Amino acid sequence: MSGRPVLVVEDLSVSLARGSHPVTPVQHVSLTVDEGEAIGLVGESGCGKSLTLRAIAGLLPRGGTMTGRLRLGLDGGEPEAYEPAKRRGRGIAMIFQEPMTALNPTMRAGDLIAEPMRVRGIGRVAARRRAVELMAQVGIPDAARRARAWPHEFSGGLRQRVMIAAALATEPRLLLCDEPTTALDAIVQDQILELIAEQKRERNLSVVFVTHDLAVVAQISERIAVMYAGQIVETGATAEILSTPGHPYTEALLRSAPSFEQRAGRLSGIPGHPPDPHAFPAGCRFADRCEYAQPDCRTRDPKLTPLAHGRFGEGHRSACLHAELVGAAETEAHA
Amino acid sequence: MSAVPAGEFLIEEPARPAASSKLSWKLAVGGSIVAAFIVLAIFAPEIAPSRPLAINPLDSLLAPGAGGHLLGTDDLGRDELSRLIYATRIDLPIAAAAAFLSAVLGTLLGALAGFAGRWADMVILRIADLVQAFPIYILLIALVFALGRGAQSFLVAYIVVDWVVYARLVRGEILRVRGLDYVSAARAAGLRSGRVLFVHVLPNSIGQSVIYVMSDIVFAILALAAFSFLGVGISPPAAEWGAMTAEGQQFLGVAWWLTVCPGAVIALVALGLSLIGDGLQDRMRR
Repeated sequence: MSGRPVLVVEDLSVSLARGSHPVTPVQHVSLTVDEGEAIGLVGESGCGKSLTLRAIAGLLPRGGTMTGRLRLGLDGGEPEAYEPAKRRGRGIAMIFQEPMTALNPTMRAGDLIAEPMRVRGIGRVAARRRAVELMAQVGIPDAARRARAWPHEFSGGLRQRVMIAAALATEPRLLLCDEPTTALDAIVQDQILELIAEQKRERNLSVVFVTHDLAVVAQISERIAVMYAGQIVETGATAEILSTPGHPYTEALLRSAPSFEQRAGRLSGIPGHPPDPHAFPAGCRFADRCEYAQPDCRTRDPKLTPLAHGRFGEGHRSACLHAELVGAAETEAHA
Repeated sequence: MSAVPAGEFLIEEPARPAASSKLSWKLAVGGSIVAAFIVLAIFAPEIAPSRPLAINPLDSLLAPGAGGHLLGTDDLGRDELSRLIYATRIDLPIAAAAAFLSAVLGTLLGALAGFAGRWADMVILRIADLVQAFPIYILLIALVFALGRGAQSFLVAYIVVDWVVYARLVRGEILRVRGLDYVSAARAAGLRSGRVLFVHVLPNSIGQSVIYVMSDIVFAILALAAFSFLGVGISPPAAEWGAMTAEGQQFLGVAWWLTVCPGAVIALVALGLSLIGDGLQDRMRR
């Protein structure tokens, strides 16, 4: 890993016009993705993670506006500001969640993959040949024959592979993944994750992987950013966040995921609901659901700051006013 | 399915088999009926036993079968069967053109409304509201009277009234399809919005309209027949099913076949087209 930034997001906010009440489901998100690095953007549904991704790709829904700075550093250059809507298909590619709706049902798989190349002026025959190559590279058996098949003739996992091939057809440096494995069963999910990881290694891709599933993130990303109620509440190296979370929300998320170590106990959920983006509370947005909440949590806005406490490693940042409390009891018990 | 690696197919649910190429009976029967009428229209001079306009006063109002006239003759002694066959050349192309041109215009305007944004959407919807505020036949009759008798004015009047149906159908479908992931994927791949619309959105939005075209041709035949019946459609002496029904009406007591035969022909064409529409609908639902 070179540590050279490919994507720099600074202070990104996304607003949606919903009738007369605009909401801002993404607020002041900053994020850096290095060359060849995968970063997992984790959170519950509605926390703004997909919207963040769509803002980066220039695919905001109608009525959506964004503020903040987006910079892209492709081909070894310094990251430069870019216009997301004009950047589509050049350097950035995106793959989507639903294998059922992510492929145009009226186009054959091969044509679908060849299309982005065709509009870039590559000839029909060359684009076809390249599409078959890409299909073989993403593990579709009998690619030459299957290039002529329609999307409904593929199973869910193969459709996802076709979509990945179509995304790779634009020769991206940055791959945005919007929960591409959520709709798949566990084993196929594993195969698709392995495929994305493999393509990332081979092509030295940078990846932003949006999911609600920490297990998925653990498998594919070097770093994690946890989002809650439109903000990033914790970032750091994947292994460290999974072992030593520095934010009560991350800790609660980890506790609500099944694992082999604690298979006897009951899974604990997180009590309460995420706040409504129409009326985010003052202070820490997680305070109402937080077991460590102190009186000042409801008045002071926490900022994403490096964790000073000795348990936490370098580059680990959390937006919690009382991060030293998180997991402290467990650590003492072990000691 | 040879050379399957890594157990992928063992694990994933089997891919759906390719849509069977077998025709449903509805498409087969409906298609045969409509194809038969198209053949009749093209080869009318070869198939018809005599010329449709040949007047023969001596053979007036012959019953079916009499004097070699399979379906009898009308008051001017013209062969009914020949007139029915030649009428196919007028009714089918005019009705098909009316439905098809309405579909094209309606689809384009509906696509514009659904895809281009708020301003176009509002203007097109308001015009559609305006057209639909009138009862369809009243508006059609008013337009045909204003434009004058004949096939052209029927076509224009029909399209003016009928595009609204397609525009609404297509607009609704586009609003649904526009939000699907493959449209986002196409935009993410950097395709221009025209290409996204015509390659990714429209082909997936016109299914309902294609089915409706079938019913619409039936409706156009009936409308044309009704206008000829009212005397503002196709000018006599040209043979047209509606006009023939109307002319036969005055002899209903003595020559029932002059009314029943063109009526039955209209019903048969309608049946064929409806079966095609129905069969297409079944096929889409699968």
